[in-house]
Amino acid sequence: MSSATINTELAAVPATSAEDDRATAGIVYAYTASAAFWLLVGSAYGTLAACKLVWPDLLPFEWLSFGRIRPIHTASVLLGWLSVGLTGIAYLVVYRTARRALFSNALAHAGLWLLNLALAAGLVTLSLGMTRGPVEYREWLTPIAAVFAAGSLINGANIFVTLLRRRTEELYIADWFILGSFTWLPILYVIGYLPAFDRGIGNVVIQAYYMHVVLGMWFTPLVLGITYWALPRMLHKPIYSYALGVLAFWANLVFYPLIGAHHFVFAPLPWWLQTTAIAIGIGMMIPVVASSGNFLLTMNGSWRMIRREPAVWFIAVGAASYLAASLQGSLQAFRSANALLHFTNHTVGHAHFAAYGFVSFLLFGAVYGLVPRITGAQDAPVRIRLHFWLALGGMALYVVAMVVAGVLQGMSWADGRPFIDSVIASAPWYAVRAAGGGLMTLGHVVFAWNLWLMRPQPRRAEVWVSPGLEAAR
Amino acid sequence: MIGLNALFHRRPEAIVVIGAAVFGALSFLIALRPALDLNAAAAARPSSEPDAAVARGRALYLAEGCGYCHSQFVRPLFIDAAYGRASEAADYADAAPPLLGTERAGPDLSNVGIRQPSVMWNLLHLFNPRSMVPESVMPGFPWYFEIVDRQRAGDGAGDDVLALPEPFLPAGKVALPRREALDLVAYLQSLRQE
Repeated sequence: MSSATINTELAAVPATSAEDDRATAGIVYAYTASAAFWLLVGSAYGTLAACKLVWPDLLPFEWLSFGRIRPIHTASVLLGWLSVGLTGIAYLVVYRTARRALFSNALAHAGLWLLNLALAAGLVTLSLGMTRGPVEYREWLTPIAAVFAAGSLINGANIFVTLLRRRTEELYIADWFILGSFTWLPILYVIGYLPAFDRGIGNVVIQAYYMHVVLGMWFTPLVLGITYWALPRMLHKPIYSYALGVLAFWANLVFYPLIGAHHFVFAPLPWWLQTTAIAIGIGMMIPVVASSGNFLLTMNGSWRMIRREPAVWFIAVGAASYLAASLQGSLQAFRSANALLHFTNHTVGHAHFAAYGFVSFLLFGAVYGLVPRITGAQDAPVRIRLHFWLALGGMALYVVAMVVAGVLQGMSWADGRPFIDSVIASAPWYAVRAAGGGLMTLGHVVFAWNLWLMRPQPRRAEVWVSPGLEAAR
Repeated sequence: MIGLNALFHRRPEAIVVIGAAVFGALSFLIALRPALDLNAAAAARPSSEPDAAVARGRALYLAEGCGYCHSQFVRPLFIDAAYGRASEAADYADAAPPLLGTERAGPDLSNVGIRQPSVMWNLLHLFNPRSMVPESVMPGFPWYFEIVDRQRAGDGAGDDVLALPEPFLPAGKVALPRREALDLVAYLQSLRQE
């Protein structure tokens, strides 16, 4: 689409008003600020947990015990930082692509209150040891999870109705991914909490499904959708291939739900279930290459501009990490590799490569690239660069340390040495990991500072909307 | 195909309905139905009469998140041979939730009741793992113990009195397990996959 057609479209379609802009900026900023808060909380807990594996007697308090803070870390960063932050940016993408005010600003604020309420209640109850057990990402007691689900349902409905009432003719691919995410989350959340599967080996099937599908049918499509909108905006050019985006959407939907059982290879689960998961993991490379390649090829030809735009650096790393982490995950599921690497820190490294290098980096990029456009307050690129290098350096240390520790652990076990040898072999790498986590946390402090500077500026927003668009309304 | 393409580009409800239908069907095939079938097929092992201390201990094991670092899942692989026989579906039939786990920052505990039968070793290890295994990175659980003067505890002579040198305990002090510590040990002792 040339810039001429974009301009014609803008002129032809009645735009949203300055007042709508202000209301949406308030919503988007409230979400991203909450997300940054939970990122700081989650980073503090994560870094503390990493330090406890180096100095196990550090802060020996009940509510800071490793087994209690680990689920607080994962809930804060996954359900807090990522879910809340992605939802906020999704509201912005929907607002822009629908060219219409959100169906209800009040509902958007109510949704955020519910999410924050659940996150705070989850933090307190997990600190007290109130948990459903070490069942990853569904540790919260059912009533707390229900509050979170209610918030997500409200947000999904709000987004859906906004898109129904859109002023544009066509539904952009970003909206497909966003609509899909908000459709799939409630389904998998309900399955994860069904009381019928609280016990027995069936619980393991549900656990494998839930812990993987929440990544692949919630975080992945949501962040991809946002990037399909953010990246072309930031580079002032269309996406490399719209059709590849459509392919990625359908391939992700057909393949991703099937691969969860690769978390329990060699478990007393049906062999076909494990083999399906492992084989379809290779099929996942289709949507992964389609989207990550699409983003990188969109950037191709704009490198000179990108050198001056640190916000895009985050997206470049995010797209590359998506490809690399997915390949790592698919290969790690092979039975031969899994026998050696399962139960080791290699998995922890993979999880952070995916959730941080891929999803978080794309979200950082989208926040830096999109939030100033609606709040009217730009941040100094020098601090974005600082955040970028801290985040990238921290992640590199973290992932390398965990991959190396994982291989050492696996080799120690395969050699039949006493278990404690694998702990001793991991020890220096635990220290490197803690240092990496510390760098990431420092980067998040810079991010919070940056976000504060990008807070909505009421005066500038008025100047911002062109009088021509106001008149066209 | 043009019709389909237009449908998904014009109608958000098409994305939601088709997306939910495909995802729901796949979820049923890959998760719900296998889970139902497996639970129906797996007969529980005839277990000894339920022990209240073991049940309380298991609840504490969940609350303290022990299962994040300790698996209870022995694979049919030579790497896992040291932990005993491979786990079977029946081993988990009564477990709510089953604690297979995904990580071994610490060793597998499927058989720890046989491997580590000493109550005192387990108590000392829970109080501070470094007292038994210097290189261990496991957290201690001192809040499940009471630290008292050695004299008050009868000069450290009782069965349940933890007498440890400094730095684990201040000089002249001993640790007495609270009920929670004994419950946790009872649970660990019950883990036998014979």
